[in-house]
Amino acid sequence: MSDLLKLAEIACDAAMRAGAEFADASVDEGRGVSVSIEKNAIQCSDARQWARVSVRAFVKGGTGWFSGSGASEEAAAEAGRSAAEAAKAAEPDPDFVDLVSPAEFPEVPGLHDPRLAEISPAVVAQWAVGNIDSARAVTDEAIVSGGASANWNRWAFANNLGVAVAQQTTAASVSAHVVIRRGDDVGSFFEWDSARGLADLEVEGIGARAASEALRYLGSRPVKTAILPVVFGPLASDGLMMGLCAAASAEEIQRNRSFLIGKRGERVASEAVTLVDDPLIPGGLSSSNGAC
Amino acid sequence: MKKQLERLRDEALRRKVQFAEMRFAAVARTALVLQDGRADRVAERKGAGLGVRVLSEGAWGFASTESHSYDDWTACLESAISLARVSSARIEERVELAEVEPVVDEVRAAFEMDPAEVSLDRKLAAIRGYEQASARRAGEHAANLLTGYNDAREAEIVCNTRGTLVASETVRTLVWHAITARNGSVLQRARELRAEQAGFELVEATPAEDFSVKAAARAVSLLRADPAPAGKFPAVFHPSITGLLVHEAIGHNAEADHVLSGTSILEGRLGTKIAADCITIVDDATLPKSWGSYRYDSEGVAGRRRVLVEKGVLKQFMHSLETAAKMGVEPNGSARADGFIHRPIVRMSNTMIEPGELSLEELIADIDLGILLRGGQWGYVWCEKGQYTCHAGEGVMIRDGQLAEQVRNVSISGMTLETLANVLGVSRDFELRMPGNCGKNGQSMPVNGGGPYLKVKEIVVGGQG
Repeated sequence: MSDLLKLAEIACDAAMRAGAEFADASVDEGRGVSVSIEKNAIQCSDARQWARVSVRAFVKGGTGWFSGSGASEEAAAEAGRSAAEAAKAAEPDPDFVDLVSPAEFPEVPGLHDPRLAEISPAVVAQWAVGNIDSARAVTDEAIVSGGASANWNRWAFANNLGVAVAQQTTAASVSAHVVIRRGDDVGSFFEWDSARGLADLEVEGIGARAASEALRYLGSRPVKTAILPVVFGPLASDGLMMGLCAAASAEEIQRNRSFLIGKRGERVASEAVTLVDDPLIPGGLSSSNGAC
Repeated sequence: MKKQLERLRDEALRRKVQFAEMRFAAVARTALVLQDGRADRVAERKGAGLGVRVLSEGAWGFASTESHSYDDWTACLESAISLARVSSARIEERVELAEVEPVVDEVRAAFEMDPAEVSLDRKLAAIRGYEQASARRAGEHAANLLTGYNDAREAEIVCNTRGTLVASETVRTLVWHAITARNGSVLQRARELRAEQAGFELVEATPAEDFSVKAAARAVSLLRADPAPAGKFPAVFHPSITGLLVHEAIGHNAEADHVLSGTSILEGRLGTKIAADCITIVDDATLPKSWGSYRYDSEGVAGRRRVLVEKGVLKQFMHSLETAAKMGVEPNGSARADGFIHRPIVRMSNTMIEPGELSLEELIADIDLGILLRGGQWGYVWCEKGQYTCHAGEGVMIRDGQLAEQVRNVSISGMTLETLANVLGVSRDFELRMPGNCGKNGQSMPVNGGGPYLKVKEIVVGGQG
């Protein structure tokens, strides 16, 4: 990973030489393959590779940001210079204090699975096809869309104060959207699984579960508008709590946009509610060794 | 670049694939954000690369690269060919493409003031003016002001094995203003956006009174509004809600790929009545300057005006070359790709309901108790079920045929075809002012939407009152 860290440092150095007072840079490169399913057949198989340099530069707290494609020394230096020029054009921010200083960065285990990094498109296609078959084994009325994907990514981050952190990640997902029509009645369900490693990915059974749930939705009817006790399932409660999470962002509070302003230490929800944001969950889909 | 694309196309022809398309796309964007009087963020983004789509033995493969080297491009072609083989593991029927005349053309961006020639100071001064006017209007209630300016220059070259070679360039400019107003513990937000395929002249032609001041006035007045009542009401939709409804509830269902995949409520309904007589729905890619317009789609087919629903009757769907062949119709230039990393899929452009003859006053005259919804914010559609939900920033109660008190936080939901059948009238007032980016299959595409005021017999309103 030293090659990407070197590029991040080159980008920071270029920004500082071009007049930035602080700078940080992230460099990432990766590749991915995905297979999409439409009406019980493969619609397309896609491959993608990418390399990108992003730099933030600060002049009197004003921020300049540049992002460009390519992960070469030239691209990194250009990104650094461009970010510094943008920062000079930005207005000073008197509230700006500092960037993060070097520290021990926790290494989150389970973010990379070498087997996923090298997986062939044919295997990913087999995951997708397997879920067509498992859905249609439940009912041959199932119309299956969805697909499967696998990605590998390397990322490095550095700033002018000496922070240097890097990570390698993989991720894969399998999904099935099953529609069942009987006359004017429609039952449908979307089921999926995502994981950082093969051991945690449920490759089989997604299609079957989506088909079973879609069958269950046949004959469903809208509820009348009313005030009722409600039980939120895990995914529905996630949607509800995201609003609270967004309002708890420090920037939302500092910029007077949050309904949580002045409520730190106060009860804002039932005692039954404990809300946690944790980027260090081993193998977590949004876990990371460092935030950029 | 064209020569290199043609060289790669010739290589694809030598490989005897059924069809291959090389698409080079590049973008350069600038974004400024002014927050509470300080323009402390200036951002630039640049990207370019190649996407290669190959149809071989009836199956698709697609690969993309950010490299500009010809060796990497041939590797990309090889990858797309081998991925087509992977796809052939499970195809229900061999994919064929509709025949169209090859096109060789070059489209230059239309603008008066090149954003690249306008200084950052001038751009900042413009959005600072918007912010100051909004702050004056909101007075002590202004809790947070955010104002943004974005411009983009996009290029796309489509080169395929049928002889099409089309280069298109687009310049886009966008300004937005968002205000959070506060009164004690009550917070209300309002937002205005102007976006066109134009240069800096868009900003010059957008006075603060018609932009940021409108957002400030709305946010402040909503502080005093009561929450909307819940229940079923006769409703009148502002053009922004009409635009949201027509995009989410009908537009996506009229995308032929959705129809073919069995997820559209419009499957099997071509030629049948699906809406009231007063409803004509059009998707028009040819409107000058509009955010969703384009001369050629990402398959090199000319964009056009597509009448989807005429006087309540479903007339046609939006098509790519593939879906047109499957349905045995003429392609209508609706395949668009988000940059080089994605393949073209069926998308909307500028989608609207056509205006009618009535005034707003005539629409509401016979409503004893109803609600006027405006400030369309977001929508969601359960495509295969034909169920939608839209959120309006504000509403105005209609009492005894007159507009009465303002209400806030209004959501509506219903069944698409039921709502369209229950439209009682459309106004002659018309707005196409919902520029935004529509998401589908992980791709984000510029679109626009709008229409007239729409009177609906009854709609479910989700409120708190």
